[in-house]
Amino acid sequence: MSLPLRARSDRRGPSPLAWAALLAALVAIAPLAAAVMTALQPGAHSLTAPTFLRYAGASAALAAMVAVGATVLGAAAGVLVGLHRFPGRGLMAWLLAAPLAAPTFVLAYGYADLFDVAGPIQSSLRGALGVSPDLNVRSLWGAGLILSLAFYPYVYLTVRAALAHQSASTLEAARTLGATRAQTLRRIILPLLRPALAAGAALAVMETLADYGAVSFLGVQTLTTGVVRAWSVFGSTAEAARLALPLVGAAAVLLWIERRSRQGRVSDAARAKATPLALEPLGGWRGLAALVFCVGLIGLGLALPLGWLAHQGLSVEPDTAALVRAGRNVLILAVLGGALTLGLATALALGGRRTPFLTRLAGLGYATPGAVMAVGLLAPAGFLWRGVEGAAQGLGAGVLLLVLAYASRLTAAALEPIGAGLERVTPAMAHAARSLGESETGAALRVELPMARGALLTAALLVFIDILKELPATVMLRPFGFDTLAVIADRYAKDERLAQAAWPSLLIVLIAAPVVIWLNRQVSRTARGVTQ
Amino acid sequence: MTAEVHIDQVRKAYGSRLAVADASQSLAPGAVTCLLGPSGCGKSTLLRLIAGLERLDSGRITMGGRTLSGAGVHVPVERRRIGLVFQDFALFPHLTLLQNVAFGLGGLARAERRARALELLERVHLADRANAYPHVLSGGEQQRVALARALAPRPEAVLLDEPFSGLDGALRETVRRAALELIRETGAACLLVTHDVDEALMAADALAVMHQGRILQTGAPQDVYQRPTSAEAARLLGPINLIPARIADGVAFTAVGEFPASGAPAGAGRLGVRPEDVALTTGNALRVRSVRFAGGRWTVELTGPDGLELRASVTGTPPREGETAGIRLDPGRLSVFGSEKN
Repeated sequence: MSLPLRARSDRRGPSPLAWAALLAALVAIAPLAAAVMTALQPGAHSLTAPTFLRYAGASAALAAMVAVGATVLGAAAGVLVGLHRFPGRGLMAWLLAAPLAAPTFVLAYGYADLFDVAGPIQSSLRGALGVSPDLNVRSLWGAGLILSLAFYPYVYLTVRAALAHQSASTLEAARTLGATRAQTLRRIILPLLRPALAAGAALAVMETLADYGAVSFLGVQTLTTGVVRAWSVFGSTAEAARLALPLVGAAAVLLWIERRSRQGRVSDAARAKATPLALEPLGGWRGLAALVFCVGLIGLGLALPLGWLAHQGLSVEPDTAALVRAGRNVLILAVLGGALTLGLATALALGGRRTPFLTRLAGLGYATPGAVMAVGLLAPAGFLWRGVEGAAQGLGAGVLLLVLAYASRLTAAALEPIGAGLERVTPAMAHAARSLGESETGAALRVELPMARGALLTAALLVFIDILKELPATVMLRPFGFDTLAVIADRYAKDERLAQAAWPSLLIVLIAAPVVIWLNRQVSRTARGVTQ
Repeated sequence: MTAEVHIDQVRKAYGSRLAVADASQSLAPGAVTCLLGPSGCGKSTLLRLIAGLERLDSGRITMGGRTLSGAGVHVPVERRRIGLVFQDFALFPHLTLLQNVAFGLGGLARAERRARALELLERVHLADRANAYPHVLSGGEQQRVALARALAPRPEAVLLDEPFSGLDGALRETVRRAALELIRETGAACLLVTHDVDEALMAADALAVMHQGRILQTGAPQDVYQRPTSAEAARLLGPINLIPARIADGVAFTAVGEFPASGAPAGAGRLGVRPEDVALTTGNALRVRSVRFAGGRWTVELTGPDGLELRASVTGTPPREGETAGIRLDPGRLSVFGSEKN
């Protein structure tokens, strides 16, 4: 039987996958574009230059403090764990990432209360010294310290990943050329880590600029708190958008730094013969000091503020009904938002492989603060709702907006593991499927995605945690009365009911912590070359 | 600057796995000693022990009479004055070629350091690229920089860990010849670790054959190749026929004839002969099973009595498959080994 082979037209337009990728990129970038357009619209300017400069100055100062603080702490922890052996190292290696499980506002609540004039630290100092030192963490300094403790894991993780890609022979070569261990650290390791430090610091600064919960609770007025304030107090989307503009610019710059820092890692990783680094044993007091440093960092970054908050929480009766409702709400949002985000990210990963520009667009969404996303969605939504009778009152409309905001912001975060998972599937496998008669889309669905399912799970969990912790976009976009755990924590805290705020805060950490730890272990396993 | 390295009864185990089992070897100054063995035989571990990157369990390593490792001593890597060239070259990606080569010259003044590094780059013909970064270089060029870097601090010994295996074909031989010439000129003792038989035979002044953590035989390459002391050592250097034999009064009796075996212990044994030392004659003791062209020579497989299988590598007109043949063995090219059990 010989059927004539029907030749397809030579004019090959973009495949369905490419179209899906384009659509995904547009969804991810739309709110951002809308925010910029809103900002640029002519209109009455209620925003004065001094106010704007004050906000921008606070944002810049905070970003600088966190860049230094998080980098120093994260690099020290990363080098300690990545290159040395000491008692408890295995446990510390993954516990050091645990602060990522806590939203920053949880740390802010804990520390603000601990250092309050009536709090345990000031009280005992007064008792011991008879004077009351000024230890107010509700300040720029306090915010800088707290966010450094919250965000050092970004640097820690990039440093660990970078060290995992280094070949042992580079360090051994330095030693055989007469360099001592300390000289090797200074002359080889730190220069080689520079891109990783830049990438980690860029992530930490991105998060700092985007932070709303901690910063607003600590009373620091930054651009991001200004965005939320402009909208909630003055009801002005235009003003909010104008405040958001420098944030978008900063996001683009940070994203560029982060991406550029990663170049070259590929060529290092491609050297298949690279042998993993040998761990330098730290004996005696040095080993103990290393352990104390790690425990201290985890303690200050998570255990101490969380413990104090838990202690406070136990003194009150929680509003169980509200907590259950909020938990259910955030679960609904996480499932819907996660599904949309994963779908968009998968489309981008499969269809955007030949068009890196699309993935970069999505990356810009990730770098943009959630508050800015919300502003971008509010302006067109307001226009839309006015046209459709009763739409603004509906629960569905608000949830839809929220889910869109999450997807815009998190698509790039999900893209990362999915892209990496797909990279492990060799082109030959897809080609084999094509040669057996599958279309490009078919090969992707039947071969590539099933093989990358571990990566899809990782991506889903990353998105889940981010939605669980998200505050500013949720505050601004949620339907009336539709509270999440983060939202009720924020409301209690602003009402100075910290003990009540402790309950939703702790719930978030309890749900997120196991996931964060599991994810971190997955990452360190793949770094060592163990897949799945 | 010219010190002999002695490795004496060195042992290293990882858990229950013995990586290096009581290895002894000397590295003469100005000479290239090749350590040959299959991957996982412990040759790289031995190199790392000499460099000081690993601590030995027992034994001793000395250089110029000074103990580097053993008897409670472990001189740190950075104080051994031993140069090391890695398989992946391990150039520092953030430093220029000049900075790479000058890395180990910390004790010199700035101007001297620069001059010495440039001198070395000159020697490997890369002085004009002194300010380039390693990633723009080809594999062969990177290899040359790695060598210049290792030689710059005037090490007393140089260790090379499969330094040419990342290079291919013709380039590999050129780079190797130039590299070893340069090392010999410095007068440093040199250990070249490789799993490539041709490389070892061509490059070595002295050859050591290693298998399962043990050094089986040491000597001039030609001697080790032609007069292996064990079947294992013989096999590591290339295909060899092992013919079961009964040895009595200095004669080896085999299914294909009697051969002189003076000095060999009486009893069961094996006769070893390389395929190229098997000459075919007319006769009917063996049958030709297959004939394959192997580029300039023919590989002939023969079967004989008692399931004997032989391989001959011959020039000229080969026999045809199915024909019968006899063999003649050059008595000077025969080795006698014990039987398989010992």
